[in-house]
Amino acid sequence: MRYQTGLVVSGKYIYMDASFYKSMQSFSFFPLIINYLFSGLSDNKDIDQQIVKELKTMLDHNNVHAKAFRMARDMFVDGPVQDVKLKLISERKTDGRVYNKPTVSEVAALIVGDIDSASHRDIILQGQTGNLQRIDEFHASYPGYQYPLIFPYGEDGYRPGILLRFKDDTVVNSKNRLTIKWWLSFRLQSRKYEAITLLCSRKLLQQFCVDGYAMMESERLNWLRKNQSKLRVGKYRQLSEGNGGNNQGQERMQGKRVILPSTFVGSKRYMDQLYFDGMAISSVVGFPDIFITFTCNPNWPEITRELGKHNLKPQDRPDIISRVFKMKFDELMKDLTKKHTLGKVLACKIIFLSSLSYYY
Amino acid sequence: MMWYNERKQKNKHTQNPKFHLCCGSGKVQLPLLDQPPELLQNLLLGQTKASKNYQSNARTYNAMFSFTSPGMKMDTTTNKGKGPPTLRMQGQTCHRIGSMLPLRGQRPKFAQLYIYDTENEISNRIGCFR
Repeated sequence: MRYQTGLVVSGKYIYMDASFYKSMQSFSFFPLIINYLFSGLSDNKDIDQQIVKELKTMLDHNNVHAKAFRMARDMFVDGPVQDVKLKLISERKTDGRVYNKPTVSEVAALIVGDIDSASHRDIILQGQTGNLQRIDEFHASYPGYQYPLIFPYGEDGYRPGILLRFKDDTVVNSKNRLTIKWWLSFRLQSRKYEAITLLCSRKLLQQFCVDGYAMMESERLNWLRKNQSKLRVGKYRQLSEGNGGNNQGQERMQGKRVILPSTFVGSKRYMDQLYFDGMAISSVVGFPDIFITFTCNPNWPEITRELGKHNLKPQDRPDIISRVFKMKFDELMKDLTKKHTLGKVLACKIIFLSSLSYYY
Repeated sequence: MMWYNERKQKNKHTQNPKFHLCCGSGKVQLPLLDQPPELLQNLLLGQTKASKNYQSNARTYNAMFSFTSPGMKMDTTTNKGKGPPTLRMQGQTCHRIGSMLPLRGQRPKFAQLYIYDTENEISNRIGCFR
C-alpha cells in the first residue's frame, strides 16, 4: 500500500517547559505511520461556497456546541458586556452508556463575574485574550469540538467514569470502567443500525484515527508517569547517576526523569529487547534460514468487497485494511509454525510494522 | 460487521461465534451514532458534483468548522530523500482553544468564528485557508 503522507508521533510533553521536553527527547519512539494529509489543508481553490453555507446552517440547527457559541454571540451583539466568561463543561450527569447527545445547558454556561466552582477539565473562555488553552483529552467534548462534521449533533466522546455493561457499581475503578481503547474500537466498527458518518468520512477518518491513537498513548504515558515506583525504576538509578554525576545543578533543571519500561511498545527498551531476543535466538539455533516480509495488498477481494459498498478507496478505511491484514497474517503464521508447511520451524521472530493494529 | 476468522476462540468451529474486537465480548455498551442530517448524508454518500467536492476536501471543511485547533511540534527532517512524505511530531498532540473574541486587528479563528463578525462568517471561514 502506498502511503501518501506519513506521520510519526514521538515523545510527549505536557508542561511546556523546555527542561521536560529535553528529558523526553532522548526517547525515540516507534513510528506510527498513517495517511495524515496536513498538506491538503492549505489550498482553497476547490472550496465550494454553497457547501460552506449549507453546512453552517446545518450545524447551527443541530450542533449543541455551535448553539452554545451562538448564545455567546447574541450576548455580545446586544451590547458590550463586561467580564463575561464561557464555561465549557466537562462533567456529565447522565449515564454515558445510554446518552451521548448533550443539551446546550450541559455543554456550556455563560457566566458573568467570578466562577465559583469548576472541575479541572472544564475550560473557561475569557472575553478577549490572545492565549490559547489546552483541552484535556478526557474532556467529554474533545472529539466533538475537533470534528463537528463527524459528530454533527455534538455527541460526547470518551470520558472517564463510563461503566461497562451490567455493572451498577457506584464506585468506578479499573475493573469496571470503560477504557479509551475500547471506546475507539467501538466507534471504528460498522454496525447495521448505526450511522456511517465516521466511517465514510474518508480523510477525516484517518485524522480521527491518528488523533485517537495519540489520546490512547497519552493515557498510557500518564499511567507510566504516575506509577514509576511500581515499575521499580530504581534499578536504573545508577545509569542516570553515571550520566549527570558532575553537573548536579543542571540535573535539577532537567526535571523529573521518567523511565519507560520495555513493555511500552515503541520505547527504546522495547526496541532493545527485540534486538537482544533476535540475537539470543540466533546464538542458540543458528542463523535464520528464511526472512519473510509480509505486506498488505489493498486489492485483496476481502477489502474491495467492503469498500465497494460505499465507493471508498483503500486508504479511506485503514481499519479494514489492518484487520484483513491481521487475519491473513495469523493464517500465514499458523501455516508456518503449526502446520509446518515449509518444514519444521525451530524458532521465529515476528516484528510488526503496522500502525492501526494497536487498536485490535 | 466482523469476519468469521476474527472470532474469539479460533480453535473452535461454531455457528454462533463470539467476538472480542468490536465490543469486548459484549462488555462495552455505548450509544450508537444517530443518522446525520440529510445534507451531510447526501454529501457523504452522494454522487453529485458537490458531494464529490466534499468527499475529497472533507478535512478542509471540517477544519473550517472545528472549534479547536490541533497543535503539535513538527519535525520535517524525515522528509529528505525518496519514500512517502512523513510528518514527525515531537511531543504530545493537543487541541487548543482561544478566547471568545480575537485580539484587535487579528482575524477570527476557530471558535471565534461562531461569535465574532457573523455577518461575513462564510467569507471569514473560507479566508482562514487563504
